[in-house]
Amino acid sequence: MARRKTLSWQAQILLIAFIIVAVLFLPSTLLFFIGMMPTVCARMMDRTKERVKVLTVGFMNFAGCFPFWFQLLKQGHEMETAMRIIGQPTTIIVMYMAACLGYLVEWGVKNIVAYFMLQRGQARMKEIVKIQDEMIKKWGPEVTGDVPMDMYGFAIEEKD
Amino acid sequence: MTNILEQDEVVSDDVVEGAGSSAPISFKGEIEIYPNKRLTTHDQGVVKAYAARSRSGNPAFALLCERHLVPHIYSASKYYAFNNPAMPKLLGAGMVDWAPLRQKRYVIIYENKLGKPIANKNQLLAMGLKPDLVLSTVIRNLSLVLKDMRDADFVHGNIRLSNVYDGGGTNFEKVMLGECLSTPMGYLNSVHYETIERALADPVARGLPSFEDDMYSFGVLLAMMMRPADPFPNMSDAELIQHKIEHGSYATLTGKERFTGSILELLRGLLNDDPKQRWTIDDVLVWVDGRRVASKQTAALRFKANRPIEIENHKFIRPDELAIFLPQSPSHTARLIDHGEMRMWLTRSIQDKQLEEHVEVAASTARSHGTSGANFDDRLSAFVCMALAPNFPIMYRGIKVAPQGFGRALVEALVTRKDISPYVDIIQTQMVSFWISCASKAGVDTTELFQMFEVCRTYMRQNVIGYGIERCIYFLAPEAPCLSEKFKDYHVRTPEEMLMAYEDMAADGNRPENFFDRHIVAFLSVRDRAVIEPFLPDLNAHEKHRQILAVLKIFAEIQKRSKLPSMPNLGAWIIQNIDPIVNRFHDRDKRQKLREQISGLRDRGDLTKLLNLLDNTAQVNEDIRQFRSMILNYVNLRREHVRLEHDLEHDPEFGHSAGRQTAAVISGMVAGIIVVLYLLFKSGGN
Repeated sequence: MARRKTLSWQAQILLIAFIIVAVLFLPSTLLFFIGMMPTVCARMMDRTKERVKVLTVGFMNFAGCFPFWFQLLKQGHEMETAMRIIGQPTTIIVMYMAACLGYLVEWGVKNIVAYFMLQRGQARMKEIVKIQDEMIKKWGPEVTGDVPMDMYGFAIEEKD
Repeated sequence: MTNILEQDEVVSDDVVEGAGSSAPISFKGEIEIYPNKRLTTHDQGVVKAYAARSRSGNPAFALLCERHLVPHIYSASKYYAFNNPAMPKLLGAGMVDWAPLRQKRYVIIYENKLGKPIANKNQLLAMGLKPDLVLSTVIRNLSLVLKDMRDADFVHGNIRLSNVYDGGGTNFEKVMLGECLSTPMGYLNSVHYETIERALADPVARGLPSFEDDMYSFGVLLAMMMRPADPFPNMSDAELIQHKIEHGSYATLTGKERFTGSILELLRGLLNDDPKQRWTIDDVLVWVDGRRVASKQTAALRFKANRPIEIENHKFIRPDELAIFLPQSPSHTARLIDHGEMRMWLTRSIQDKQLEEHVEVAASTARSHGTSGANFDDRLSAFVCMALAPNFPIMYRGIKVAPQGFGRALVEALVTRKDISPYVDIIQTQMVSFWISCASKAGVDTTELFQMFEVCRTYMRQNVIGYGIERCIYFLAPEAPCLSEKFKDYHVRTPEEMLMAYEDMAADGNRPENFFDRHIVAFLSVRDRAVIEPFLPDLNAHEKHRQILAVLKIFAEIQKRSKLPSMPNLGAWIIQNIDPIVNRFHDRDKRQKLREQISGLRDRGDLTKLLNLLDNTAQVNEDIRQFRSMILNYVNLRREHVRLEHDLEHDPEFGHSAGRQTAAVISGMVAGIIVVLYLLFKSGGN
């Protein structure tokens, strides 16, 4: 039987604090819950080791939600206001477009960086070959360690 | 001033025009030697004499020493010390550039006042001179020479009729004794002139004679001058020695000739076979003065058996005779010993317990070195004969050598390419030690000899370069030149001469492949131990650079210590062989730099500077340290290359991780900027 995963007491305190805060600021909670849904999806769909897609998408998604949250705060932070803002199509479009922009940044930057790293790797390989050739030229083939050597580090000449 | 041509005229019958260059050869700029003016009357056997002239114009003659006959160089200093008109004055000795043979040869140069030999070829065994004439001329002159020699602790060893000259006189009044340094002492003397013990030895192996031996030869010389005929003209050398043993030297040399009372006394005194009873030079001088010489104590007589022992129809009455026969037929010895015939003969017929014990010890000692092998009979014979005749030379496998003459005999055998294995056996089987244990009882001082041969035995135990029979040669023959084939055209006696010879060889382009061989290393080990001993492990090493560096260190040390002149040719020769030293640096740039520095020293001939450049341990160690570090670097680079290659080929997401992280950072920054701009916009609007 699989053992049930339990949270540590610090995590439990934080979770409780988060729930309390979420309940206390319920309009903001509702706004962010609806607006940050693409980020939640990104977290769930990210299979990479680093799991950094959530950050990339999340930052942009938050930037998309921020103006509406600012508007909610200015208009009294009421549940009704929150519902009204969420109910406007523009709100959802802006929030989700911002999240899409995050996806776009993640895809674009990842490929650009990977391309540059590939180029750098190939250049480094050529550089290594060049350095090795220079080392052989200066120190002889013995420096490769592939040649049987005597006690002084010189190649043992093979006799016919 | 005597003109050299006049000298030629004096000896015109004997001058032979030599082949080759006729240009005079200079000896140290002081004496000119004429290689085309031979003086055959002054030859010493194979050692040829040439006319010469000193700077002052006095006639001289030079003896061109032979490589296989080691001259008595050390005795030359004693020779210089006494100045007797009846001996040729020694003008100098050393190496000259003998152009006709294109060799460096050792010459001994004397003032030439010898005149002609007093005896012609037909008179060498009997001159028939009147005793009164001999007394008034030869005996008076030569006894004074012998006295001077005795006072200078010098032995001649070359007293014989063919080596006595008229000194330019007409009736022996200026009679002179010839030279004695150019050949091993006694080498040219026939068995007549040598005592029984010395006559038995091979001529080259007779060793340094004693002064008593010189007196004996003097006695023989007088007998030869006075006797009218050879009493035993057809006798072989062996028969003559046998006759001496049986009848004594006096009877052998004078035969039935009747000499007058006083001459008879002189000859009996000088030809006495017992050295203790033999007349000394003082006795001769007393006799010359007309006084009576006191009688001497009689020493032990030679053993003589009551009944002979018979081998193959030969009957032997004396152990001495048996000791001469057995080495010629060594197979009989084992039978005589094993069947008890020898013991029975010694017990019943000789009746000398000590001799019997000696023979038994000899047999057991010979067996202790093995009873099998082809040489057992020879070895047993040699040991038994040493016991039977303690003062006879060691007679083994065809060689007859006195331990004192061992070194010179070994040199002669080596140079003339004879088999030297009997000499090796003699050292290894401690025959000399046994000879000494027998001979010491007969009053021979042998402590030094014993030590020398024991040292040789330790040399023989090691087969590495610098030891072995080669080292024994130079140890036992300290006057021998280096016998290496590389120096076959030189007479190298000292490390300095060796270096000069190398320089000469290098200049001629006659450069052997290697600098050293076993002879050269052994020669230096004996003659200049300090200069070579620390480098023997390097010379024996397999690594070429260690060998070459050791050679350079030795050469540089000799050049520096003896303040020898610049040696550019030798330097160039060494540089030609220097690759193994340069190539011990791993760093090719360092090698190149070193080669450039070396080429700058090529023509300077300063071996010490060359050594300082090459023998830099700190640089070599630093090179090794860097090389090891470079091996690690290389391995790390290879690993990096393999990793990169693998990632680039097999990882489709290469760089994606870094890309995602970068994207997160950029996204955060852009979001931050948007939020800030929004806030600024809103606050600006309000």
